[in-house]
Amino acid sequence: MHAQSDAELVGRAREGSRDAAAELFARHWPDAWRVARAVTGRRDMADDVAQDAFERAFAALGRFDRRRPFAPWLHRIVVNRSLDLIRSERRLVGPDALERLEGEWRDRSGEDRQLLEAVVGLSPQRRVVIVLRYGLGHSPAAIAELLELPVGTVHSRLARALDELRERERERDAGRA
Amino acid sequence: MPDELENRLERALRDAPPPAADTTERALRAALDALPAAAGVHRRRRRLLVPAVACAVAFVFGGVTLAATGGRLPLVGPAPRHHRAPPGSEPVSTPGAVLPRGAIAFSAVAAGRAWLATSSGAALHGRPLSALAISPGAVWMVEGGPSGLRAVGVPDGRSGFTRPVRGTALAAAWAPAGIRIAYVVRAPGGDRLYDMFGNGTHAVLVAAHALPQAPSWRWDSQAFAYIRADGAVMIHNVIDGATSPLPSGCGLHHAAAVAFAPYGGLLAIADHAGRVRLVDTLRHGHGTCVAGAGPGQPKIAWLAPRELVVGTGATITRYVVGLAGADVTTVPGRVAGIAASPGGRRIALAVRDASGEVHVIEARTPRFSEASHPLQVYRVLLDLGRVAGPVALTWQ
Repeated sequence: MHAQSDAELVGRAREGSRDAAAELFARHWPDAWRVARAVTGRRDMADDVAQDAFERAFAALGRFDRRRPFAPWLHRIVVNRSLDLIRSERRLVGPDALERLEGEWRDRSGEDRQLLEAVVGLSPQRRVVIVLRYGLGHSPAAIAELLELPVGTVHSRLARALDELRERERERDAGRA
Repeated sequence: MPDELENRLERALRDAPPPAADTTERALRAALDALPAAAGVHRRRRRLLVPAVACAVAFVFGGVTLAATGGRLPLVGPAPRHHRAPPGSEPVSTPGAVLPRGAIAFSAVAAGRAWLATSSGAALHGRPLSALAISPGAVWMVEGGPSGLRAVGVPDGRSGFTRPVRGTALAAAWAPAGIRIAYVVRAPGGDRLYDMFGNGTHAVLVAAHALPQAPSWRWDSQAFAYIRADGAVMIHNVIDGATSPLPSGCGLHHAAAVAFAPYGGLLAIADHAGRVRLVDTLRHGHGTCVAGAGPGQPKIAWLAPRELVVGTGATITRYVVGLAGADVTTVPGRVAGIAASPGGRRIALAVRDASGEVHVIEARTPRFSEASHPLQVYRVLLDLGRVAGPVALTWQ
């Protein structure tokens, strides 16, 4: 029995199949949550953002163009919701978020943890492209389409984000020395 | 070709911890509930919903929001699956709160218990509930507890939707048009504010840190005001989902209470120091500082589109927009809650006396004049005993 494509599952879900919708959810929930988690920097926010994104996506399945891939469409909703929430909570996401991350990622190797903390410290715009590129493996062109940005802007944000991360690593190494 | 940093990023981000199982399960339930009905089912539901649509139209402004929410029907009332309330959960018709004259519903929530009196005879007498919100017309009520929110028909006790939440629902407010509900949940990490349709679906997190009090809806049901945990006043527009802070003014940087006027965009803001500010949120946030009320936890009630009272400490202060000064009236105790009758001629006050007992009284609204008038108390509506904290009152 062949695994159904996302487009087939979307079609069945539109016709009222909860099994197909549940399969679609199971297939994409972990990545959607990871995007929300990495962009918001907070596990509790990610729970809400990812759930909200799925509710919106499922409610809008009737308008979804089945010829297009489902994941980027969903990730776009997740990213937009994450950024909305960060904007409205800007002053409250910061040291608190880092503190939580430290708790959650205590079991990670020291270097990984520091790198993830540095990613959380990036501006939301840069963080988003880093997460989409390296967390989910989207190409710069796919990210550009997903975020409705020129490809050049995506390349530039990626380059600047990587420069910033390298700079932070250099500062950290210098501090150790 | 990826360099060492990029390889490490891929490894670190892809190995990130997974979502918790209960989060996944809750999200799946919510997502499946959000699925649009299949074509045949949709037609059948439409026929059933015709009377309900008529009710929504009667709420005047529902149509605007309906259009803005993509044509779905976030109606007052239950989700499509109805079931009877479990035995013992029906509203209890026992003596408790007295219904103010002419009211169709009066409720009080204090220290995790709720009281309700209605013209239909349904009542709650100290039921353990952390939140209670009555729909326009007192057709439905939403009860909040440790497991979530539950809609119950006021006259007949039939069960409507249930909305599970992670944490305890602390406060809820029904939009004036009845098509949305905003509610606050105490969850690990903070008190979180959500907005959802009036049928319990499509809940959206609005703020991860909010004060644990019911937000105040604008008269057109298209926006509500709330206070963020850091004291900033925020306006959330439910049409486009945008949330924006209201610039502070009058030295009022940490708001403690907000309330929209019953018509227009005027928002009253008060803090613990007794500062009161009126902001026209529909006219570029133009604000007016008014004469201060006394210090204490403020409670605001609008009497009319341009008249309001603010209760703090042992006084209530009445303001008329556009007129300087205020009328201060002393009350027999400290104000723990306040609500105005729909016409604004009478008010309900929860007053904590010197022994700590809280009494809810019905009084004539103090006159606005240069000389203060003594408070004219009509009757005691409810004796709450020694309850701590604020008392949330509603009057329809």
